[in-house]
Amino acid sequence: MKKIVFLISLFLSTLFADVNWVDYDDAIELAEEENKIIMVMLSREGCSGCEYMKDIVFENDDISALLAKKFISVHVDIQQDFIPSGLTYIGTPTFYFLDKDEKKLERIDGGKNAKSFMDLLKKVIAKN
Amino acid sequence: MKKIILLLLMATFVFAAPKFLMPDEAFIPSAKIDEDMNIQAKIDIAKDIYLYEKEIGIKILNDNGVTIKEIKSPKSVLHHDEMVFLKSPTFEITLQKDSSVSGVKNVELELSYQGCSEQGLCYEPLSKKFTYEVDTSKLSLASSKEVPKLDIAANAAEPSQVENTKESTDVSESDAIANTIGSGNITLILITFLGFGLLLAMTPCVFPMIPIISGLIVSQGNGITTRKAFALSLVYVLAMAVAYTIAGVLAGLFGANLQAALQTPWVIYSFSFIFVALAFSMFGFYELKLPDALVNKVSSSGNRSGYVGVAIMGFLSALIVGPCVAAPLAGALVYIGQTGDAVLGGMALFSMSIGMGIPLIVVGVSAGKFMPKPGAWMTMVTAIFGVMMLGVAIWMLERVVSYGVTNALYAMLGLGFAIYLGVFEKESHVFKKSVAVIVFIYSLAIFMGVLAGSSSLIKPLGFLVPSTTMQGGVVQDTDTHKSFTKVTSIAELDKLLAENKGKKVLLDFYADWCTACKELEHVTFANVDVKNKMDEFVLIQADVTLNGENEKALSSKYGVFGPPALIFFDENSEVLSSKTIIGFIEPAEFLKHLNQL
Repeated sequence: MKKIVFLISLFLSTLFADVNWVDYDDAIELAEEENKIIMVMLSREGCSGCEYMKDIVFENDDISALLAKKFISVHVDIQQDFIPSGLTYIGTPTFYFLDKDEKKLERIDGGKNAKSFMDLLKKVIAKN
Repeated sequence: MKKIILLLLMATFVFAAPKFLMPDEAFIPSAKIDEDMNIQAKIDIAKDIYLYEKEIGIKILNDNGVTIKEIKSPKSVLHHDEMVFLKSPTFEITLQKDSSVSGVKNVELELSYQGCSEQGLCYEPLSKKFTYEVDTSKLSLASSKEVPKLDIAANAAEPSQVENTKESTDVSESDAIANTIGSGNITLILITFLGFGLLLAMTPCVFPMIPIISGLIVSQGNGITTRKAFALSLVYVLAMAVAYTIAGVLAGLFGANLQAALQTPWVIYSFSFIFVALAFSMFGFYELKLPDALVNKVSSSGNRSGYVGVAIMGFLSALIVGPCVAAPLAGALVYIGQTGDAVLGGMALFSMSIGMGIPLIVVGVSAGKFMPKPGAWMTMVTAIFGVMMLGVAIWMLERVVSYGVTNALYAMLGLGFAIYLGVFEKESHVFKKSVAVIVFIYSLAIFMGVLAGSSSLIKPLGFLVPSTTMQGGVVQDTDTHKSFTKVTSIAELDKLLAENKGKKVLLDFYADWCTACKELEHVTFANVDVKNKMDEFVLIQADVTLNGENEKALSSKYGVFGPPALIFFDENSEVLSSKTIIGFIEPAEFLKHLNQL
């Protein structure tokens, strides 16, 4: 059931080119099934870099399309949500790219503009 | 707005992966206590790091009778939509004690803060504790048992100073314009303000100047060349711009209400009188010119006397546009007031006045060009300008005397004009006579309106129509809407605000002599959709018509340079300074604005 809802929302989200954020636990399951990379975004309320990523970078159609195609995106509010073990940070936003076995592939500190974030996603895909 | 600011952030995000400092390298807090038991807390921040003002907290953790009396914090700046410290801030903390406290006490102070790097990383909130042995004999006694407000954010929210109302995360239009001057390059600023001026020229505030400039050109007499008409108009506009700039700079520097400066009754009476004198000269009672001796000194030909007169008139005309307070003007004034940079602010104002004057130059030149051939027509044209100028004189009086008086004067002017046009003459031309009759009847209607106590010039006989049928089908509509409660002082306003805590409040700065205020009332506030939306607000009108001490204090408390200005308060009676509207606003736009609240 969970999966159907997710697939529908995934379908809808690609229509509207929005990033589809899922729970960390679901992400591991989905990454396994769909053979995708997990992207975890650690953010917090009132962080300008996080807002920039959400409002500008993830609104970029190319980026949201690529994220939908190759990644499972997880959003963690470090003040409210459970932080997956081992994901340390010195500030927000911090991005982790993990494989389905929760092995760390890449860690990025801070915000990026759309172009460099795109390059980064491609680099992560190429490496794995 | 938010999007734009976020987009600006992009510029600071570098392409290469930046190396971020660890939190303990980015922020180095320290706090020391001096002999007088005052604490200086400092947060040293690394390059490209900034601190959020609202996240800074200073408090005493242990409760043994020593409390914080006062915290002096440095000025924060607006950065990416937030108030922040870009340079290492130092906070001066003064302590106080309860009356029961004596001897040396252990005080534990906590300094908390949160900031971000310009490269796009925000650090976690951090805090550091400091412990001091405080000699309480050096501390002053707490005046009350009440715990003072410890954090700066709360202090800043107190609406005690005009400055504080500006410390918001968003900026209002005029503040944004003030920021534009602060950041942009000079050419861009001047061009922008020239544009603002051109836009201002489309508002009613410039209309009274049209008869003045055309009258001046026409009164130059026969055979004026286009070139001279242009030169005269230019002199007029330049003089106006200079006067306006001077007045604006002074107002900005001294933080005065520009209106107040330009509408002292005796000033208005004298200028009104000057217009009357000018009008009479147009009627040919006498010729207005400088004494011959002076003219001879200035120029041997006497040809230049026109320029001096025109320049003087231009200078005086700045007074007429004075009451037109619009966002760009207020923005320039705020900039001058905040930075004391009169040069750049003044240049912006001058550029704006020139923009405002360009249409006037066009009017002046065409007045010279299309002037009819000398003859009977010529006398008629000058007479019409004379009447217009008398109209301006009465219009100026509107700011200081009641409507009854000015409307009676308008009526008298109209009747006189009708008689001049030959309303009672048998052999006058049919067209001329019919115009005369219309003017006569209309003026008579105004006069009857005055007698009946009507203040409207557009519907002077409105009192004849029973009020229930005035609005046709939407009668009930008018009845069910809220109306403005008038206040004239801070005390009255505060009382109303206190009574209406928990509700959204709209405060309208209004004055009888303010043309744009009336436009706002008759066009924008009269719109049915706007009325319905406005019912969600408590409506308060700050009537600053009298502009006495109370009214001036009220204006300056909310940073209003002159009406019209609309200030919004949220449910906690806090000013939403970013939502402030200055000047006239169209109904559709206003509705959109209200919907955002």
